[in-house]
Amino acid sequence: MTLAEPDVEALQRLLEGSLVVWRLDGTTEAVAAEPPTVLIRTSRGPRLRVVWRREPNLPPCWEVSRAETSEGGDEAAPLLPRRYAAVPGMLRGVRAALDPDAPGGRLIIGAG
Amino acid sequence: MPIPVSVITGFLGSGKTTLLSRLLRHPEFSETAVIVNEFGEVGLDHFLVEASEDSIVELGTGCLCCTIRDDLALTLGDLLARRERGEIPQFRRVVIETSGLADPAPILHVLMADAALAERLSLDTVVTTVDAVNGLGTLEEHVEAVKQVAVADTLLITKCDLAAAEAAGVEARLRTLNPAAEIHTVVRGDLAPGRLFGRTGYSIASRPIDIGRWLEEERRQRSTIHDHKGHGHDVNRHDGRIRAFCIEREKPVSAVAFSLFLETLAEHCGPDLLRVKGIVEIAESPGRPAVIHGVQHVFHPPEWLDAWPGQDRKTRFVFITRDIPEQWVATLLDLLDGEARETSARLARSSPNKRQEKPLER
Repeated sequence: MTLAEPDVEALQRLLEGSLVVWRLDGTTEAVAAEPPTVLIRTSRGPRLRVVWRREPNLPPCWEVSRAETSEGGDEAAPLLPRRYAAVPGMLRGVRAALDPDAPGGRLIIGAG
Repeated sequence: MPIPVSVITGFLGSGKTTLLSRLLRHPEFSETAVIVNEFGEVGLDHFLVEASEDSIVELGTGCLCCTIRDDLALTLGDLLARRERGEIPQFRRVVIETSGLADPAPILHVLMADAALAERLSLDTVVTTVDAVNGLGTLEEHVEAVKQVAVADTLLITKCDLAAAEAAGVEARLRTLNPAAEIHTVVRGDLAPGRLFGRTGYSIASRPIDIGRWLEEERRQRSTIHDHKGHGHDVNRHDGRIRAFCIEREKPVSAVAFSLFLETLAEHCGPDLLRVKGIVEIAESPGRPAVIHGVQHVFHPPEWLDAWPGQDRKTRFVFITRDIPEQWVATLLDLLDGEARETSARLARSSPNKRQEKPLER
């Protein structure tokens, strides 16, 4: 275990909760602990695989890909696979693949 | 002569605590006893409001209008008794800050109908804050917010500096809900107390919404509860999808993780993030906690305290959310903090001569 390697249970909790937050019907499945890998199935989006990867001489990253390329149309999630440096990008990528029309919020810092 | 009681209400994050904090700095607002009520497992407002500790009572955890409303009568009675015994300063006014989710009817009912209190206290005024940024949406979605507006003597439109264009629409909506109320705009709670308090007494007459009916319903409901259960605690009357929870961390949070945490919450949770408050130990700024306030995707700039306000130095975030799992928020924070520390350590390893900062401790 390296300094900040996420465990697969944490990854699954994050993605399971993300489906709730995004109001998407779906399930998650932890399929491997090393590297941490979770599958996401939703009723309408593609089936996705999310993996936390650490490779020699490279910063660790999150990889989001289609779990089974034979499923669904090719037009679904056309930008996959993608790699993301951190959790915020990974979540944004997963959401964009599952629900391309989802509204995105933006943090506003202001006085009041 | 009864002591005047004022109620400051308003939906989550609409600026009640900011208003109260500013009012308490005015000399003319001295000799005021304050009752603060928060909806959540852990209250923060009581030590973010700057005033003599003697004059502030934190009213349990729960919402005044439901689970602890009988406590309000008891608290008021206790305040009066302590005042008479000389145990606390001789306050001339009581101000109650409700939780943001409070239905005002039961609170007004306690203040107007409790015979034991009526001889010694009189309801003076109700002030309701409405946020210019989120106010219209809140009034559409939350009946409590409509009730808070309808019962007010004075309506304060807050955060106009963030949403000047929206403020006019909010004011128009407020005038339809409560044309008799005075309406002021306010920035960061900056308003003289004389413009809010010291009326001749609260009246439910001449309001377009039938507040008398709400109060009568409240009276009937309370008598039913007392008849059948023998006490006044009823079920929580709020939307069951709304939850309050607190996330605590013993270890400091890195500045990068803290920033990404807020950004990610705003991006993904938006209108379901009803309220966030927090006091946070930032790893790069030890001993100077940051206080944050946010509503939906809008946050105030963090306020940096010179020191922790008490012995408890844990980082605490209080969330009031709709359909957002607590575990998701907690896991998000942990993963972001882990990543930030990993990155910091990696950069330090890869460029030990160029970078002077130490990797964050884990």
